[in-house]
Amino acid sequence: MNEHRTADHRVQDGHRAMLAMVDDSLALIAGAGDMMPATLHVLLNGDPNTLSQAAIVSWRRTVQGSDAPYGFVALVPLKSTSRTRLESVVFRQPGQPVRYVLDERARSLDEAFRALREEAGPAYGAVVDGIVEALLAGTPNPLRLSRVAALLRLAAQGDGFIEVMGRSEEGDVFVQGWATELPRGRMRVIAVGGSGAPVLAELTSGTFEREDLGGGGQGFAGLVEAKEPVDAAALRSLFFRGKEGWRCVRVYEQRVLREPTETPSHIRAMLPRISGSAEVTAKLNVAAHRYDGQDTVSGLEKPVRLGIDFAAIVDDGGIVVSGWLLDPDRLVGSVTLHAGAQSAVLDERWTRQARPDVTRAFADDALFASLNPQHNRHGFIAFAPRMAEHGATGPVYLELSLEDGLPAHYPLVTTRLTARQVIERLLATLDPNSSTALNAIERQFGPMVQSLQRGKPVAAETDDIGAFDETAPLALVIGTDGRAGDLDILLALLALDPETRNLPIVLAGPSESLDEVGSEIRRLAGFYGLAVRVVYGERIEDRCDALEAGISATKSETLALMSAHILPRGPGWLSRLEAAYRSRGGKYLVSPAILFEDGSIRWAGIWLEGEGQGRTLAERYVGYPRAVLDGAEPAEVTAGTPDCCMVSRAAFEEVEGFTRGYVGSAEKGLDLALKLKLAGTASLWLPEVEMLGAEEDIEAGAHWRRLARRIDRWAFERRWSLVMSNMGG
Amino acid sequence: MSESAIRILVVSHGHPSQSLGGAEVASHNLHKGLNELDDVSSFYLARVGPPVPRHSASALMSLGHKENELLYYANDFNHFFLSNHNTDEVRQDLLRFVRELEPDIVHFHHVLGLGLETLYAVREALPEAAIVMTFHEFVPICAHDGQMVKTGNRRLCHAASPIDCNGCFPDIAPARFLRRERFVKAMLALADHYVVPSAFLAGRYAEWGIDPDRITVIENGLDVAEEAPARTLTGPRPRRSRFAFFGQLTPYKGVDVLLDAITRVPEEIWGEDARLMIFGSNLERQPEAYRKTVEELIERAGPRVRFYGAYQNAEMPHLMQSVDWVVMPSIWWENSPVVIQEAFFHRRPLISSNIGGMAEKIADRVNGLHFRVFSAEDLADRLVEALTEEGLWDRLRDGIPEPCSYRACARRHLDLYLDVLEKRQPAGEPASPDTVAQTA
Repeated sequence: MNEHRTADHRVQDGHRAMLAMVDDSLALIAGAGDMMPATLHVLLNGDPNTLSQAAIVSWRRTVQGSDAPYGFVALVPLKSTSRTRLESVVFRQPGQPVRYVLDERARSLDEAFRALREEAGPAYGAVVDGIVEALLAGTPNPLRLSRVAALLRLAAQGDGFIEVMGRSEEGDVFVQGWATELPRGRMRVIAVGGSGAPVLAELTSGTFEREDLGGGGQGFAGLVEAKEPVDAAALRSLFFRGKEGWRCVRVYEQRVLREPTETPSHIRAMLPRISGSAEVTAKLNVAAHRYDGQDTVSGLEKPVRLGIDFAAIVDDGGIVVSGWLLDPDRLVGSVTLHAGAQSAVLDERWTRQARPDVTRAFADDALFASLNPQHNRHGFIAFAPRMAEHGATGPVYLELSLEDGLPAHYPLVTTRLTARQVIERLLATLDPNSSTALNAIERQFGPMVQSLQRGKPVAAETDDIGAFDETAPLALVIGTDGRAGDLDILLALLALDPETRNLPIVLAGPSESLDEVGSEIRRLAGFYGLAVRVVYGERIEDRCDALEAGISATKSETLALMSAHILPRGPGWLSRLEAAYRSRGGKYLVSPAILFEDGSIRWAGIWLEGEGQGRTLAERYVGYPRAVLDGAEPAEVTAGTPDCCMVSRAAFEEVEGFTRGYVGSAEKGLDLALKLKLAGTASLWLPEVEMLGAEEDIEAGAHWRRLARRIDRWAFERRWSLVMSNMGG
Repeated sequence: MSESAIRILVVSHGHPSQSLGGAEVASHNLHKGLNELDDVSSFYLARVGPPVPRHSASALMSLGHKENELLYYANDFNHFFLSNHNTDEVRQDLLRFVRELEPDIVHFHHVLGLGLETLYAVREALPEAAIVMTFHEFVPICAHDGQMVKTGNRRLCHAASPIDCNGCFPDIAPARFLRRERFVKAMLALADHYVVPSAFLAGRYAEWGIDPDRITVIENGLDVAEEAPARTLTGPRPRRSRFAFFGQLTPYKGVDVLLDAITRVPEEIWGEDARLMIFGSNLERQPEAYRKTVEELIERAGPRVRFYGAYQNAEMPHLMQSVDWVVMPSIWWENSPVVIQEAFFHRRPLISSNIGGMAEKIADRVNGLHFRVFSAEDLADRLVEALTEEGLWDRLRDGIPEPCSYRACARRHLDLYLDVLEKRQPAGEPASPDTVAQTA
């Protein structure tokens, strides 16, 4: 027995062995003895429960004439996490088991590695290999990986440098530099960097000639990929197992780090110089054709072209894209929208539209000789929800996958629009009755509108004229969407009616339109002695929004709501509404009958009709002569109308006002009435009170109204059909 | 309310010395007549506008008129809604004056130019006073110059509605007409009583929705000193062959129909002595198409027609001396044109269209002749009758009723005022507008 009674770090011979803990479930035991196979069963502390299989690396020691000619290091899985000190280990050698007593003091892994380096001498490489393999077995956790990194830092020789890196949105990293022993092709590497744990990754690379190395090494270029995106900025070194052992390629301090949009062109420039297998070239080629901010569709030598009318980010971060794709030979496999790291396939659910203008534009283009002039459905409307909730975090573009080639890209410039603005833009091209429109509603507009999360309308600024009392028990709130004209006439009529001239009047509407008439309103309110609070609102798109902003600007308990296009038919309407409201304890939303300018009925209550699933809401008597109302009694209806009603403020606030997810005001009002009904405030129709609601300009906006109506119907039915089929009366 | 010292403010949309309309003349005559009655004093306030220059400090001004006449400058008028945007000055200048004057009656003869807001302002400022309104045409009902004649084809209109009015003005939505109607009716409801110079107008306003119990028909009074004697007949075969047209040459007055009719009378009937005299002006201000038509017709009529240009009211007696027949070919309804009253005063029979106020005031074959409105042929036939029928002119002249003098007219108004003041509701409460909009 040799006596190496020197520093503790040296391996004990014969019967003692060194112990170091890799982690709670793996122990490193090193010693000397006879040769051992690569795996053996071992027992710890003589306890049969600890039986496990160890991975072993042995080497021939350089020591002469020892009865422990082989050194070994064993990695022993620990079955239990009990804290009993490990005292002994038995190796179940075939033939004679060998027992070792473990050092009392467990070493640190670093100490163990150093000791092994000394002991193993030329066999150290194999030792390192073995330990690394064992540690990387299965799915190594971060701790194991850091152990591996620690060992490799010690063991690996420097081999070269990474000088250029290119980030990508896909998560892989392009690396380029020089090395001596780095082979071409695919290989496992350990990427170490920053403060994070080392990452097990794969490097696929080729080599290229470099004149500046004086023959000592080659250039390399390739892609590092891992399960999670690799943090290129933090990368410090790559460890790889070369022919002669583990090697390290370090990231040069002055390395160049390219952004994702710069990387592809860099790779494209390098590609011709790089030698490697087909697999390597293919992989690099794909990376070289990633999106780099350029439009690569318009220059394709294939008959594929793309045009974009607009791309908009809507309220909740969804993206709407409207444009056309000309692909008569069906070369495009799929169309994917990218916004930073998010992506969505568009062509599965987009709505196609006729675009004869596109067909005409390319009719004489030789590249599109196969274009059939009868086929015009090149347009598309697509919607991808929640792509860019707080704005796009990276470039926004379309990727066309081409079945016989590399993908082509098309940058998109996005604007921020409201859902309503998007629909208005697309309006000109859509016939509300067409199947295109129906599809668009089902797939794009409906979901877009339904998920609207944007904030409530607010009273950005208010302006009081006269002695406006915000705490008066009753306030008249008038909402305008900016399109109703002649507010001055309404104010005059309110002034001429003794019942309304002393009420606090809130006049709410979009800031822009009220700004224009603000001074007129001031003049008139002053002349007529009215107390008016003008509310300049934000986020107001229709008269319900205006009413909501107006209501937020007063504290009155009872509200008389009125849209600006409604006119009183004569004085006394307010007191009768109020009498009906108060006699029922303020627990109703009370609405009058509304007539058209020709005396026919415009609104006379909304009633549930039909049974079960088929139940619908119907507006009764619309267009009938007003004589139909003679003798009609007040009746509870399924829904009143916010266009003219009296309601309690508390009830309105309890249901949180109007629901946001609609583009027009009709279903929005209906939705409110139903919400109120469910919360205990039913609607009452009071036919004895008649108000006038003249039709605004019928032609302007008819198209919009029809489409908006269909979209809102869709959204409304999604919300309410089930409830309505169970609703009483 | 005793008769002593009743004070009246007559408000007009123009002063007769500046604008020549019948309403201006009638309102001013009323003012004169009232001042000649005992214990009555009347003040006359007329609107004035550009090109007359105004004072900067006040809208009130006078133009060297009498002490009981004042002008009010108003130039910010919305024709469609009959609304005055300069409500600040209404409050400041007009109201101040009205409050100082403290009239018992404020009698509006128009709100054109002044705006319906003046009604409101006066009502607010003088809760005790009674407000009377005279309608001289259909301005509150009809946006086409108050004529109730359709745009485009000049067809007669019988009733207004937002949709029908939109038919005449396709650019203005029915909703706006509805608002106009509501606003005008609600404002007019502030008045206590309404006066119209013809039963025809009374009927139209009652149909429109004004309470018929609040409408009184009072003919406009005339202020003419002396009857013009009949024209002296001379020549071998004397006959009543001098026809005259008095009035502005607007399309509504139908002078084109008259000129056309003149050319259709055969030469042998027209002879050498017959003549049409046109006393009127402003052809150059009319729409181009109409102007061209009239100019062509004038060419065709040749020596049969002579133009005498504009005239002042005061010249009428003199001009009448050379006139036998007065022709009123208006294509709109006419209310109570002062020309009819003046022709009657000077005992000249009239030949008129058979509609509206003309048909009411002139009895066919009693004191005048009717022809089918628009029809130059029919008018030509009447002209032939006038030129050929023996004794027709004398018979018709005998059938002419006595027109109302301005004094008599003022007297009738005073009776009305006293009546209204008696019925007036307690101060502070405006007349109930419910009763106005009966059939609205």
